[in-house]
Amino acid sequence: MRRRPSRWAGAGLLAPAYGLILVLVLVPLGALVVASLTPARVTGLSTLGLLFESYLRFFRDLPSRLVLANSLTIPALATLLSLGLGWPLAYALAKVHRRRGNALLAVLMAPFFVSYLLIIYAFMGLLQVGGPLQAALHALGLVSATTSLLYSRAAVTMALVYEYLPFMVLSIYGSLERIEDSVLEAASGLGAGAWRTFTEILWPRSVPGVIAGCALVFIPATGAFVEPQVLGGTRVSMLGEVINAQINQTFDLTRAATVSLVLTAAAVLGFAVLAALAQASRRALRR
Amino acid sequence: MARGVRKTLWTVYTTLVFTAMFAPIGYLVLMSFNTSPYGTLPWHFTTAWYVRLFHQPTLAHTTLQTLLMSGVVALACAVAGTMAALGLVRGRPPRALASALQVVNLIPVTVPWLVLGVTMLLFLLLVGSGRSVLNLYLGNTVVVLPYVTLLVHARLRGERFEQEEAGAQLGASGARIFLAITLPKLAPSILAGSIMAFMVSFNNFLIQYYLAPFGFSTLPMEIYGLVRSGVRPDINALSTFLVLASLGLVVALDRLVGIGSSFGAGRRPA
Repeated sequence: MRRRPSRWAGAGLLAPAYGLILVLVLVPLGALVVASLTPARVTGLSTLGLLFESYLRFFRDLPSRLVLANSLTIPALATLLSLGLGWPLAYALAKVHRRRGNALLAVLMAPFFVSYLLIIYAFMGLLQVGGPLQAALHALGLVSATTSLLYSRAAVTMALVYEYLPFMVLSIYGSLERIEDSVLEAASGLGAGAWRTFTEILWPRSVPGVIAGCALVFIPATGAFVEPQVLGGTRVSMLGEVINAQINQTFDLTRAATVSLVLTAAAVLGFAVLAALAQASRRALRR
Repeated sequence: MARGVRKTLWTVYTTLVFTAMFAPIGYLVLMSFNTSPYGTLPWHFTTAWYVRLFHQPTLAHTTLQTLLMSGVVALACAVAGTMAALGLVRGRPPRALASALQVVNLIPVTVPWLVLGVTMLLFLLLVGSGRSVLNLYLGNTVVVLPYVTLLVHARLRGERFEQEEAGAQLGASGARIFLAITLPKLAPSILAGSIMAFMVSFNNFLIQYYLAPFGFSTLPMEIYGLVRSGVRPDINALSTFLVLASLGLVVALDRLVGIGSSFGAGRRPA
C-alpha cells in the first residue's frame, strides 16, 4: 500500500503558492473594495449613499461613462476580430497542415514574447504620416497625404488584435485538434457538406476553446493602458489610462480603487456575455 | 471543390495571416538598418543604430537585471507551483476545498494585470512597504504562478501512481521516489510552465511599472520610456535582438515539449 501523505503534508505543499496568492492578491483585492467604499473626506456617520458615493460619482459623470463604453466596445471588437481571423487559422493548423501545426503554432506565439510594447511601437511607425501603411493608403487615394492613422479606435483595436490573436488561435487549436478524423470522415461519407460539418461538428466542438480564447483576449484587453495612451492619444481613452493617472498624477486612492473595481467587473461581465453568446450559438446553429 | 484546391486556399490563408502578423516586427527590423531615424521611407542602409545601441551603458545592465528577475521568478514558480499541484492531487484535500483552491488559483489569471499591479501597489503602500525589488519579484511571481500550477496539475491528474507504489513497496524513501520517479514524469510540464513564467514576467510591463522601485528599470519599462519620448531608432535595433531571442526560445520550447501539448492542446489518446 502507498503511504498516504498526512493532511499536514498536503497543507505544507499548498502553503507557499496559496500563501502568496492570499497575501498579494486576495487581501489586497479585499482592501481595494474597502478603499473604494471609503469616501475621500470622512465626515462622521456614513450612510449607505455615502458608502457608494464614489461609484455614484463615477456613473453620474458622462466622460467616465464614455471611457467605460470604450473599455467594453474596443476589447469586444478586438475579441470578435481575433475570433474571425483566428478560428480559420486554428482550423488550418489543426486539420489541414497538421504535420507542421505545432511548429507553426510555436512560431505564431513568438511576436507575443517579443514584448507587446515593441508591437505598439511598430504600429506608431507604420501608421504615422509617412509610415509605410499610411503611405500605401495615400498611394491608393484612400487618405490624404497629411492624415495620420494614429489616434483612432481602429489603431487601438488593431494593436490589441495583434497582441492577443495567438492566444485565441492556441485555445481553439486545442479543441479542434481533439476532434477525431473518423468523425469528420463519417460526416463527409454520409454526404455532409462543408457548411453542415462546420455547424454540426466543428463549431460546437470548438466552443470550449472559443470561450477560453475569449477570456484570454477580452480580459487582458480591457486592462490595456499603453495602447490607448500611445495609439489612441487624447481622442481614444480607456479605463486603464484613468487608473494610471490616479496612481501617477492625482493619487486619489478612492477613485483609483473604484475605477479598478469597475474595470474588473466590466472585464468579468463582458467575458460572461461573450461566453453565453458562444454557448447559445452552438444550439442555434444546430437547428 | 477538389481537395487539392481547397488545401491550396487554406495555405494561402495561413500564409496571409502569418505575413500580416510578422509585418510589424519585420518593419522594425528593416527600419533598424535604415538611415532615417523616424521609421519612414525611403530606405538607405546603415548600421549606425546598432553602434549606438552598443554604446548605451544602461541598456545592457537593464537587460541583465530583467533576465535575472525573470529567472528567479521562473524558478520560484517552478518550485511553488509544483508543490501546489502535488498538494492539490496527492495531499487529497476534501473535494470542496480542492475545487475552491482551483478557483482561487484562477483569480490572478482573471483579474486584468493592470488592476493586479495597481492593487498590489496600493496595498503595499497601505502596509508601509511600497515599491521595492523584493515586492517586484513577489508580485511577478504571484501573477505567473497559476500557469505552472495549472500545467503541472493537469499532468498529475492524468498520471497513475503504480511506479511510485512499487517504489514504496520496495522500501524506497519518499524523497528518493519523488526524485527518481515523480519529478522526471512531471519535468516537461514544469519546464513548459517555467518557460512560460519566464517569458511572461520578462514582458510583464504593467506589474513591473507599478512595483519596481524608483531607479530600478526593466527592459519593458525602458522601451516604454523610449516610446513615450518619441520614435527612436535604437529601439528598432534592440527589437532585432529581442525577435531573435524570442524565436530561439519559442523554438527551444517546441523542441523540448511541443508547444501545443504543453498548453493542454493536442492531448491525443496515448
